[in-house]
Amino acid sequence: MANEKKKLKHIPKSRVQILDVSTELGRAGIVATQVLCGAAVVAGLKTVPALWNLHLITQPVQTLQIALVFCLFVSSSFSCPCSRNSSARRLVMSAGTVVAALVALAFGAPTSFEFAARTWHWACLMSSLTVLPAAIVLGASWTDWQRVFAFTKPHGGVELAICIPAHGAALGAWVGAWPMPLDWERPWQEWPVCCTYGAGGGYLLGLVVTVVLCFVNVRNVRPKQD
Amino acid sequence: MAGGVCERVAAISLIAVLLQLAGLTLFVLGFFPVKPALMGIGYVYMYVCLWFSFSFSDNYLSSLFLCGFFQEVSGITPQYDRLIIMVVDGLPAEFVLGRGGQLPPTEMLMAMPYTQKLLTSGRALGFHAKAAPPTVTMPRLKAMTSGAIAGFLDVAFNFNTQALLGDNLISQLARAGWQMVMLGDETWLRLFPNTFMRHDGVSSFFVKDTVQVDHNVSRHLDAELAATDWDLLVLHYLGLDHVGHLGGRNSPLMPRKLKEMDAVVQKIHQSLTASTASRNTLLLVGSDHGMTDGGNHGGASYQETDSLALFILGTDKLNPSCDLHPQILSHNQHPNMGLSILTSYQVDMVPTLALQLGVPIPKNSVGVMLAPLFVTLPYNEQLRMLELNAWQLFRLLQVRSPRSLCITSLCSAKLGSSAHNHHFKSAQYWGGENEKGDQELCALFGRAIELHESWRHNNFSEVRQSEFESVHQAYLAFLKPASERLARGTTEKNTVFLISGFALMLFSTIVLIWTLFFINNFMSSSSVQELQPDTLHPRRTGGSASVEEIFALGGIFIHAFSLASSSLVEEEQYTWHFLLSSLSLAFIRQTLQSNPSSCDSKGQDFEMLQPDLLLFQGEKDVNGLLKETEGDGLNSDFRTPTESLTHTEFYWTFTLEIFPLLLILTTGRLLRAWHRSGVNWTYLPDIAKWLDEGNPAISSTLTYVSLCFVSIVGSGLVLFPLPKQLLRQAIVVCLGVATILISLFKKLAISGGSVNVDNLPTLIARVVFGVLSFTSVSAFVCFPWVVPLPPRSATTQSGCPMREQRWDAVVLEAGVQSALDSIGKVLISCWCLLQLLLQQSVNAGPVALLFLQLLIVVHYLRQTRLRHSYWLSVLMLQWMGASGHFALGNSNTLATVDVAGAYIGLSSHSTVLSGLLAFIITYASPFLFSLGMLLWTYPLRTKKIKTVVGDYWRRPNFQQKWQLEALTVPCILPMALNGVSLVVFTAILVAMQNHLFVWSVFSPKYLYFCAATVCTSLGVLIFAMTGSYVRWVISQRAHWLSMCTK
Repeated sequence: MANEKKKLKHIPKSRVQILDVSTELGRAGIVATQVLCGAAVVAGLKTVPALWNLHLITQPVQTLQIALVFCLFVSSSFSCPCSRNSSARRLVMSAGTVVAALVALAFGAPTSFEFAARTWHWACLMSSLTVLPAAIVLGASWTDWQRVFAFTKPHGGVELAICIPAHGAALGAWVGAWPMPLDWERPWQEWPVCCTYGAGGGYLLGLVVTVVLCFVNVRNVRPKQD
Repeated sequence: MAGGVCERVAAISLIAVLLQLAGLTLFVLGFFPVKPALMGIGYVYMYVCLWFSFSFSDNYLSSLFLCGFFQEVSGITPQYDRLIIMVVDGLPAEFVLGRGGQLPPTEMLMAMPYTQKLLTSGRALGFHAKAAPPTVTMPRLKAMTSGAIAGFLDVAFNFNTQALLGDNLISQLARAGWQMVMLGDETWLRLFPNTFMRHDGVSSFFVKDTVQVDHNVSRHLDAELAATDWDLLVLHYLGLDHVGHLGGRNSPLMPRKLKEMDAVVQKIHQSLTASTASRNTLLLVGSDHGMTDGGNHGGASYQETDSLALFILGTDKLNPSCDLHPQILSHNQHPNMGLSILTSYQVDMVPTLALQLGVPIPKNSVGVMLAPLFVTLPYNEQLRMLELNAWQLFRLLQVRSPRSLCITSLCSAKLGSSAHNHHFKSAQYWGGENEKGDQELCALFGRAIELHESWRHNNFSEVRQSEFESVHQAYLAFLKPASERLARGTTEKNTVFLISGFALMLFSTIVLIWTLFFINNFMSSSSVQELQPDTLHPRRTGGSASVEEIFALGGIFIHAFSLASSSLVEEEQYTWHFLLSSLSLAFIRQTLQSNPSSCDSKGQDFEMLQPDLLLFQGEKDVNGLLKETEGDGLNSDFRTPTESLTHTEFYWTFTLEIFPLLLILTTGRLLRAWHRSGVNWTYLPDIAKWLDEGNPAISSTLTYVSLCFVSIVGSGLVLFPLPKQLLRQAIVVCLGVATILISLFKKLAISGGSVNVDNLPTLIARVVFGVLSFTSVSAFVCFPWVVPLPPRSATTQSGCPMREQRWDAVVLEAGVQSALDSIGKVLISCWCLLQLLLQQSVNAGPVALLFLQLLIVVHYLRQTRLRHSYWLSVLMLQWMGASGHFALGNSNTLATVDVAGAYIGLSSHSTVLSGLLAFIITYASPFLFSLGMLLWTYPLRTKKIKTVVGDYWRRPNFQQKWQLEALTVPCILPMALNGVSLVVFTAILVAMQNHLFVWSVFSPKYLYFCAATVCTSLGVLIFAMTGSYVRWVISQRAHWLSMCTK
């Protein structure tokens, strides 16, 4: 695991080099990263809170905080700890949180104060799942951001590993919102529980898809490189 | 491609639309049938039943053929010979009896001291009488008198009350020679014309009047109570319902109104006990339906269906010792000092009254007699009554399922031998779900009859408690499920109508979609494509659909299939808001794809933008554009995208493009928060409640601000392009006059209070109707004639003379577009002003916001039109209309139809006019966005014109193609979208026909769907009319112009 992390340290920003790295990393590296991320999400949302008798339904804020810690930790696996742009990362993270919170509000999240903390923490989680890895890897390159998020055309394995799970998390949260208006009167229909589960599920699915795409696409990547 | 493609497409789609409407009508007729009712009066079945039941004991057989008198045959004596029905419109049983064993709130208890005293002393027996939806007055009155659960479509005829022709209690009593007096709601008079010897009907028309309506009833009370010539007195008080409509359940007027009702009860009761006349009078205090917290009714929630049936027995002189009172007292008094809950159905009143008064039970009644009221009678009479009721229901069951084997076998068994059990068993092998239910009921019925038979044989005279109990229980065990089954109304639907209606709708939808594909293919046919694929057909060049398009397509189906879930039908507003927000987000994502530096195709989009900003000003630039085009020559001014836009310019355009989307999201969220809408979370706070409860100054300020906003922006939009044109000035003046009048109306409404019906507001409202309709019609008629056309002279002056065809094309396209644009602006302004007049004052904000939203979205779609498919823009408008529908407080229950607004400007009851007003109020938003399509017709191709204009406009097909897409797609697409959801929901409705919520959730939604279809068709009709009229006028004018210059 440490090996892969070291390799991941030197992720450059330009597109060609990323291709190089991804091929250098190989499937194993990407798979390892994905497994790590998946484990972190599962552990953060489910396992560890359960140890402390916390549950997303009853204590959404605390559980989200734990999940957040795990996700932040994992995101750092995309870069070296001593990276110099940590303040920039914080900036992107908070900007992403604000955007996610605003999007949630626009989609109909409750505006009352009792939900403010939940919305905020949910937005933090979304931000850490979607934009934080991208901020670490892509840095401040508008073109890369645009390519990954506006066009969904990732180049190379690492961008794939950023792009697909991020989209998975967003779509998962979107899908997760659908049961909310149903009159089943279950506690998990509360905001933001099912959206969080949806985001987590979508993220995990994204990870799997990334791994699959890695195996399918490697062949397609190589000729381009040549 | 010979001429007439446009006409052919129009004809085909017209036929398809008509087919859709016809299919819908057929389906509605098939799915909501008038229930098979027994015609005639309740004598015939009695004979049959008696024949059946007495074929065992020959005692009555001889008298059977002689009997013209029911009492003699039935063997029961009437308990009462006089009845007073006091209907308090909209009184929830909760106010009198409490809920769930709890006493009613203290203020309610305090407000009705006399009634409460009657209840606690055991002189009255109160029931929670569950009313069947739709909980509106007319169907409820029908149910209360005939005992039949009316067909669902009766709601549609609520305004249009018609005589009740079926067998009912009132006509039974009339036949028995009763004299009747009716005071109160004139619905009774329409239901039973020529029945009442004296009547004073009041109209439920002025909802704002809460005092006078009831005074008009009570003023006769003293005289009537003193009179002895009547046998039935009907009092129908409307005031409480009006109080609810105005201020909801917790209105400050409510306790006062309850006190008034209590005083009426007291007066009647005391006069009855005091009178010396030797008549036994029953006083029934009932309500036709309850009300929601907001005071509305119509739906199926507990609060709306919880109506009251209070039998006041104190005048019972047959039992002066009142030995029934301890028993009733035990019913009324709960151990923990609360009230026990006696629940029943509203229709149960009918057999109860019929048996108490000694008339036959109306034939179509599905009610069960209220056994607690009969406990004082001798056992054999009680059982006899139960038997009559059972036979009557059984007869009804037989009519409902004529093919049921066990019922027919039971009947024949009764006729032949008593060995009917074998027939049950043999019948069990047949039939499906329905049959199983029938068999159970048959078995229960058979058992009850058998027990009763043996009881009668064994101890006709002897009284044995336990055996009586068992027979009693057996009857009730049959009656309750039979009644529920009949009430549920699993009637056999007209399958031919259902299938043909569905097939027609499906066919028409397929035709509409096919037409759209045809247009699509025609537009992108080779001749145009090779020239300028991007311009005519602004889809991305790759040919694959973009994310937004895929999402939009998916969204159509997500919405359609979400309606399979009853909760998502109830809470449809969330679906629309969610989908609309998602679509906006997809647009934002697409905007983010634009790029200042890259030179690929995206850059060109921005190159398109600049002239559009000019174009937004309307027709002024038609000239400008042409001059520009001419001056520049054809290709001289073509700059590459990178040259044309610097970075600052790019970011400016970028912001300009993102900003409208963010505004749409924000206003959408605000609109969503305005009304909670739906069913399950209506109690949560929203802006409308906050405005209602908060400072009235805020809400009135908001009303005036919205009014000013709509009026000023609307006038500005109309005036702005050519401020000096006389027509525009006149229209602005008209809009101004309308605004002033509306503000006057609102001021009167706020200050005037609810007491008096004044003529002034009605007059003002009528003047506003007149002014607005005059404005829109004159705009419609005149604008095409006065819209400036590009002068031919200007084009010929410059160096390169325009060709004939090209000039024609420019004139037609520019003229039609600017005329439609101007007409559209006038129409949306008038529509919004009309809504501001009609809607409740809390809805002024949403109306203004919707107006704003429409302008923003039109601006956005114009700005970025070259990147969106044509249909995507139309779809965006449609979705916004649907989302706004719920932002105005509508929902998929019938309770939210704003009845109060439907009488504004009317001075006498008119079904058509008030229905029309209710329709206008309810479909404000979808219609607004339909009109908005006029604003956004397919715009001029601007910059590109410069580049390829020569070839492009020389194309012979050009005019036709332009018309085809710009004028027909906005007509076909909404109908196609509507068709898709309609077909899917029809299928869902058919699949759900045995669902628990089919009458309370799915059927009302289907009615809304019907109304929405009508609304869409009307919007499309207006668009088509305007489009073809404008096109005709402009082409005429172009023709004359060219004649003149020649």
